[in-house]
Amino acid sequence: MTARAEGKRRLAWTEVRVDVPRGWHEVVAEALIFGPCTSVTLGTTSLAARQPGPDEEAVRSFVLEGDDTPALRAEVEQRLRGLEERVNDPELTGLEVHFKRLPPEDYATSWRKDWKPFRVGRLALLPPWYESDPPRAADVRLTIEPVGSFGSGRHATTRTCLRALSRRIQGGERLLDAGAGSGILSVGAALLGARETYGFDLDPASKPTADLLAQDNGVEERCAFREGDFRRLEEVEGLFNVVCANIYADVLMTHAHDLAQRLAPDGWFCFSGCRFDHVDATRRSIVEAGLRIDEEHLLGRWMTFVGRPA
Amino acid sequence: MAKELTGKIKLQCPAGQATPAPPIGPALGAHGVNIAEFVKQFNDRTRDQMGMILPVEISVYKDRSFDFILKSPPAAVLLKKAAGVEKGAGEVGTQIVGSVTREQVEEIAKIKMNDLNARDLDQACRIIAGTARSSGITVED
Repeated sequence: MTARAEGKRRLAWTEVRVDVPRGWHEVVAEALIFGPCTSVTLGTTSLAARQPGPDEEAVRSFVLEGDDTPALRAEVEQRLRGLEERVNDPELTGLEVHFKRLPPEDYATSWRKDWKPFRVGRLALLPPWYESDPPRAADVRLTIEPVGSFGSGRHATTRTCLRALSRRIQGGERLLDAGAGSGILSVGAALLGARETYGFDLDPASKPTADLLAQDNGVEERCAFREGDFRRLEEVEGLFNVVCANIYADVLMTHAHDLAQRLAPDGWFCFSGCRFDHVDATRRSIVEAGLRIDEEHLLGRWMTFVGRPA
Repeated sequence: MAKELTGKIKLQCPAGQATPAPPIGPALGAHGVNIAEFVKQFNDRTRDQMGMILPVEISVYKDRSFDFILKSPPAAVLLKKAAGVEKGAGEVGTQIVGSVTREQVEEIAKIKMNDLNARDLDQACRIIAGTARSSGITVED
């Protein structure tokens, strides 16, 4: 993008702020939403901003610099006075409005500055807008758009699983991914050389997200994702060289045996999602399922188990 | 996977028409959230309520992922429904368009109690009654 185009997209805004008595934000917000003011936010963006009084809430709307005219400011004042008059409640009187010019910003893209590439083992996790080569020539690029509730590979459990895959995948493996989420473990494994992956997840948003991640990384023909619970295992035949499960400890404990049954005799597993206070019970379930734990990795509050059939 | 909550953001946005512009941009951008993705998900989920301003609460987690819930409809919408009117009094609210009973006000106050963060039911009732007057709806005893 040229500097000129960049400049065009960086628009200046004026903040329209009213501190309102607790509970009254909704009715004040309604008065502030008109014409160029299309939405409001409650609260302040940071502790550095001026904080409202102890029993007050900040209601903020925004207008483009060009719409911030004396007429608009007068209308805001008028709407607040009219509101006070109509509501006629002693709590809602003397509302003050503050206008503050904000520096130009392209909000559609400025949030990206916080998303730096990061490396997990041999994998370099990069956002789609990162056009340069991965930080190291040997890195395997995994392109991931930070979306919604599935995150972007930064969660401690995901990172530990990716690290295990990065260390252990030799090439040609068949991988099972229980609780696939964004599909990052399957896609990461495929990029590292796995021949075929099969993932399932209860969350209906998982399959479309994971399919897209596989497409974005050019491994969609090797990665299959399904919506559903452990009954999905009945649909797929044979054993897997690698079994991954990044799921809650209670689910893992319930289904450790199902997962163990699908693990090839020379295969290995990586189970994560176990909070530190569930470690003992989870470890016991894994062993009782006929598996042997070779490695335990605690990252933050989360434990990951790596091992093989006993 | 359980995640560590780092922030909650409250907005009121037009259903199906949110954009990355303020207040969404600066509010979410301060937490490093993918604004385009929130806008897309919000608009997809609210398209069938076009024309309404919807309260939404966004939870942002340590890994900068997010999810959001749509809160109870604005009190003005509930009041109009209770009064059986299509629209409120419009711009200046001088026109009386309908009425609700004290019981209806209390019922709405109970629904909105948490979202309003009111001190008690009495204050919530006063806020709802004030919202009614602001919308051209009278409260009858």
